[in-house]
Amino acid sequence: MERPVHALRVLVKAFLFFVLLNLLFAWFDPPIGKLTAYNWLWPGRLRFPYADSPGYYSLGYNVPVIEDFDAMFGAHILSAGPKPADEFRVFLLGDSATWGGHVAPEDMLAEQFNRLGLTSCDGRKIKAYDLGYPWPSLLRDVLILDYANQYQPDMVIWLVTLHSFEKKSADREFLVPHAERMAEVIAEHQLVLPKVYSGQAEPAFWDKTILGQRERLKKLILNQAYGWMWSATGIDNANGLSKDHPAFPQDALADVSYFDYQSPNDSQALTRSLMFDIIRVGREIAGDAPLVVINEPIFIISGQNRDLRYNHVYPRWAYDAYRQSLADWMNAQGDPYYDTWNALPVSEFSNDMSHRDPQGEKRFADLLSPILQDFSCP
Amino acid sequence: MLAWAITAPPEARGLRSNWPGLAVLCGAILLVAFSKSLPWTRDFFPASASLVLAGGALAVFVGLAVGLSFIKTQSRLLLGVAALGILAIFIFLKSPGLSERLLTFIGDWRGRTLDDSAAFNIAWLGYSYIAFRLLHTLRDRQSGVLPAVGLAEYVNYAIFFPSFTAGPIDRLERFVKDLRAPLPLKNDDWLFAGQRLAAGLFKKFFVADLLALVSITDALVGQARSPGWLWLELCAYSFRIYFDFSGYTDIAIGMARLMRVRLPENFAAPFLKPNLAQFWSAWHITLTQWFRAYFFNPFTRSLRTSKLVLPTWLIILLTQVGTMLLIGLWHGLTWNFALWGLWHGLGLFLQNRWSEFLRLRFPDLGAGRAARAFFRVTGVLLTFAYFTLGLVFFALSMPQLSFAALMKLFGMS
Repeated sequence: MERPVHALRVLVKAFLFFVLLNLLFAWFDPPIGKLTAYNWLWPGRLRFPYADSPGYYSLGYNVPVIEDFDAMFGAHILSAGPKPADEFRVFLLGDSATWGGHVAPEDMLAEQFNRLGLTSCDGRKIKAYDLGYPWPSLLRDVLILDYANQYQPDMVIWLVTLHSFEKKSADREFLVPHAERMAEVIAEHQLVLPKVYSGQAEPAFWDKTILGQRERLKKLILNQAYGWMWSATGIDNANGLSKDHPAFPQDALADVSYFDYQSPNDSQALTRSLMFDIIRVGREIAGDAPLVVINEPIFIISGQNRDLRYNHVYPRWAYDAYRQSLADWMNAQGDPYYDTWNALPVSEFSNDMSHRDPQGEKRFADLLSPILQDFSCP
Repeated sequence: MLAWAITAPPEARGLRSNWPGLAVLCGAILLVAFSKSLPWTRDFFPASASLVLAGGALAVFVGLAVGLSFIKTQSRLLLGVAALGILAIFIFLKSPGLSERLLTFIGDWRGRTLDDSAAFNIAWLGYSYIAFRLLHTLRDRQSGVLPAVGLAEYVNYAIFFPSFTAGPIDRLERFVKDLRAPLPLKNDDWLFAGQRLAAGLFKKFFVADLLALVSITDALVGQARSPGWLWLELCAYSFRIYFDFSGYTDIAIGMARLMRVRLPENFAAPFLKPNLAQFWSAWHITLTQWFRAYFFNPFTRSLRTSKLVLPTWLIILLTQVGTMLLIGLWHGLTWNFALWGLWHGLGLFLQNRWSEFLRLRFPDLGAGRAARAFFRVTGVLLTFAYFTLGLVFFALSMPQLSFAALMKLFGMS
């Protein structure tokens, strides 16, 4: 005779099973980010998954998975397979300007390089990979490079700006999920960080359960689902849907303050606070691959108060002090450094936050191509 | 309340037996109106009409209901006017142009711009379903088959919480039977309800919502890289609406069962049906039954018995297209929903004629087991393809976009 099923028992068993599943999940911490349909069911992305304002329905068919480098790299074309023997591999590190905040994937800097068809002296094809990620955070860039090293770069180009070197508590958003690895990197390379970075707590046991990870799990699933749309449309950025952009205001306020720094008298305090030493860590992680630092172009206004500010972000005194001290530091370290701060006209920016438009990306790639060529010929 | 007062026979309209229902209803309306003025409830309730407005409306409703309760018999005129009133509200709410005008009017009246008044939500959650439940009672009262029910029973039927937003559209006489003699809630019923709820939640919030990410939209018509991708997105939409709607139905049926009411089924494996007629008997069953009872059958009868003798094929064409056109417009008064209804009306007509042709010319066709299986599989695939292709009208907002999508799907653009 068939045993009757009791609803209450089913409920209790389901609850216990769910609790057990949560505990096992937290205990084993399975690397589910490695499960990916990219690079076999749909093509890998040309840049990391990211959306400006991530909602459930994304106009750019994209969702950020920065909490999980396995998923982030798993979606990237970089992880498609072993490095071809005839490839000279270049990684581009940086913030939203490198990621291509306002351009379609085919227009971003890395693809502009690839379109130039450059080859190294030994005949290898120079292939650039976009490893940029929006919001300037050098510590996050270092962690990305640390992970990306397994993909054997031949050269690393690190695009920076003043904002990249500031200490920022907002970095925690990127760093907390990677606190464990970050602590190891800091210890390995004896990096001394400002107080704002101290106390990067590792996730608690509760945070590792399915319930605690529900937001991350949701994003991982969405990231996979959006692979279909990436494949179907080739779109990964809502801000890149339009190739045109308006002309931006050329005036700035008559204010010379820069965050906590009020006037040119604070220039020394400002430069002392900048975290140049992270460049050293990047260089050490890159190992044999040369690491080239580029001070990226900024949007320079030509209207009112242009004598006080370069744009609404940077007052002249602060940016000049930064450029000088970065040049001095790079010179002292003997590391390759190029300053392209004023290389592009305002018309080739897609907004006043120094994001380049497709023409700007092309011009910038043309400008940097001799550097790639130089470093690909030992 | 008004619809009840109009449809209830005199013996069911006594104040003595209905005052508890009336008190609960008035209390609920006043509670919502009051809630707006309480600082700690502002976040929980939408901006609603002011207390004065609510109180005034309540007084009018109660006055009308009490007044109507003195009417000894329901005249056909009154029932007809009530049905037209319900349809008029339906037309206003379902027509984007008219609802925008109404919105502007309300905005002007309240001294706000259109943008501000958008917050004054004109959408009436679940009205498509409420309207059809009420129309059913009005029509059945006209036919004299509606059972006598009290106010509380009638309101429970019209706005029954589990089926309030997305059906199924039950019938009053069936619903009231469960209300008066609630079904037992034993072990197996808990299991049944639990299974339906779990299945519904999974179908709606995992499968359908995930498919929604990859389903066809206005933007995707231009963005899809190839016809193949557009076909896939269209198929995704097909499965999405099935899982979405049947998921909601599962949830409604499961919840209702816990409340000791058995709601009717709305889906019966529609994507496995071998022809369009069977598909429509298995898709949104309660809506098609509603239209069959209150439009298709009476319309067919009237055409068959009219003095003007029409050929059978024309009667079938008119009734199929007319019914499906109305089903399309039930979803919204737009050209695209009309085209979607037309698509299905013509599909049903063609399928009817084709079946008839085969039956007369090739009576032995599909007699063998293998042939039957072949026709069944082919029929299932063709029915799915026809339904899915028709979704270019349902899923997209404008005819131009739908035709552009059709061109692209067939590699013509």
